[in-house]
Amino acid sequence: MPQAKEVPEKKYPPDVDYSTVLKGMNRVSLLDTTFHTMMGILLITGLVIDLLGPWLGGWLHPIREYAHGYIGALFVLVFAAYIGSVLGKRKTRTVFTVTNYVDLVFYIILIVTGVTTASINSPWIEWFPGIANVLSPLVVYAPAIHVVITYIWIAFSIIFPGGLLHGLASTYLIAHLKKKTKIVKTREE
Amino acid sequence: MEYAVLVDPAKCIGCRACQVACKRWNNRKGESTTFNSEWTNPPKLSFNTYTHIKFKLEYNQAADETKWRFFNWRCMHCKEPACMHACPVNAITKYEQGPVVVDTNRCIGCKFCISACPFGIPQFDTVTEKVDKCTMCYDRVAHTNEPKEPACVQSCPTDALLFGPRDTILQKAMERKEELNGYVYGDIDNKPLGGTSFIYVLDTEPSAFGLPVVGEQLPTSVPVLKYSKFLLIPAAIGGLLYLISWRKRRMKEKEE
Ligand code: HEM
Ligand code: SF4
Repeated sequence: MPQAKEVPEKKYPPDVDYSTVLKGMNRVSLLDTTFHTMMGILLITGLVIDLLGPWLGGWLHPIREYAHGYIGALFVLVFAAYIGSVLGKRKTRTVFTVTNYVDLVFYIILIVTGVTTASINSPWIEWFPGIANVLSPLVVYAPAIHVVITYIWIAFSIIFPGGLLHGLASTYLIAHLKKKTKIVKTREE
Repeated sequence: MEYAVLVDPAKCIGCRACQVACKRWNNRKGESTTFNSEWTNPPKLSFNTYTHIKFKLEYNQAADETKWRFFNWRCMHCKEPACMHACPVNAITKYEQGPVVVDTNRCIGCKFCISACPFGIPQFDTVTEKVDKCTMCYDRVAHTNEPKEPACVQSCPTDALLFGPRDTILQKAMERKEELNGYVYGDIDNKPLGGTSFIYVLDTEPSAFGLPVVGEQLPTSVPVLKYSKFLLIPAAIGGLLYLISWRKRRMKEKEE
């Protein structure tokens, strides 16, 4: 007769630090980690462009072009895959809060204005002239909206712990849910 | 001393000598052009075309007459340049003599100035990935005790462009306004962004030339863009309060 395994005492909330969260995030999904890392890079490089300009001047050109622009372009693809996978699963949809949905709107505005700003750049204008034809009349408004929305988003994220904190918190929650599921299975054995 | 250029479209014959002179002085490339719906080519300003003659065909129904309007279009060199205030890397300078100049070594191509300028002047270049525009030939006007007129003004055969101390130019604008029974755009009747260093004297309303209505103060979008970063202060305070309350909660839980 199989012996019932001992169920470990669960402490709630468990002791975690950022490395546990990152490990949890990676275990849950590589896509999740990629999405959050890229978003972090865009946020930091964006702020560096806007805040350190008077001191760094022209040195920021490659940061704008490569670290923000090219990673931003990749981020658009990762975002599409990520949001599809999150909203496509019932389990992840259930942990999505109102703040997460509002964050989603911020992301969409940042992506649309970011892509519009970059649409008249090389190589996009040569590769996808259609995008520039449609979006370039908006280039006049896009850069300003992009920046202002970033700051509104940061303030919103902290006042209603979303954005910055939700990335870490929701992956922690998902990781935690997974652990719980495992324990339940052990009991059934 | 502050200088200005008087632009008198009624005297312009559309020869585009100014466009050519500008390219030569500023060492700008020619553009490969294609047929388009404009009467002139290249059709508009670009990174390599700092100054452009707009062609406008006007039909007067009462007199059953058509009339050409040609006019010189480029940066207005405002007293309070919106582009300069929007630039995050301080790449744009307003010289006391009048010129507003982009330092392309400093420019990072963020396009904030494109967002800010109510005249649609700064032009992005896909090769250098930077922005540039007319410099009012600051290398002839500023940095010297004996300023030379900008290259476009020097080349104009009909005096549709005139250069001089700003006060003298304003006086000439007033006299010509009387003659034409018209308008002054850039100062006197219309003072966009505190007044401009290129001043138009027009025989009809500015809108007939497609000149936009621009207020004396910076457009609201510029201070919003510039000062939105101060939202980081309440955000930081909020974050700090959040961390403190989180730590307190944890300490309490540990004690229990
Ligand atoms: C104050 C902060 C920010 C500034 C100053 C800024 C600035 C810019 C600029 C200048 C571009 C055009 C890039 C180019 O021309 O190559 C851009 C594009 C972009 N930005 Fe930002 N940005 C900021 C924050 C953010 C944030 C927080 C995100 C997302 C989380 C973001 C996402 C993007 C995306 C997706 C693009 C499009 C890139 C492309 O298609 O090449 N930005 N941003
Ligand atoms: S594009 Fe260049 S000049 Fe214009 S605001 Fe950005 S850094 Fe300044």
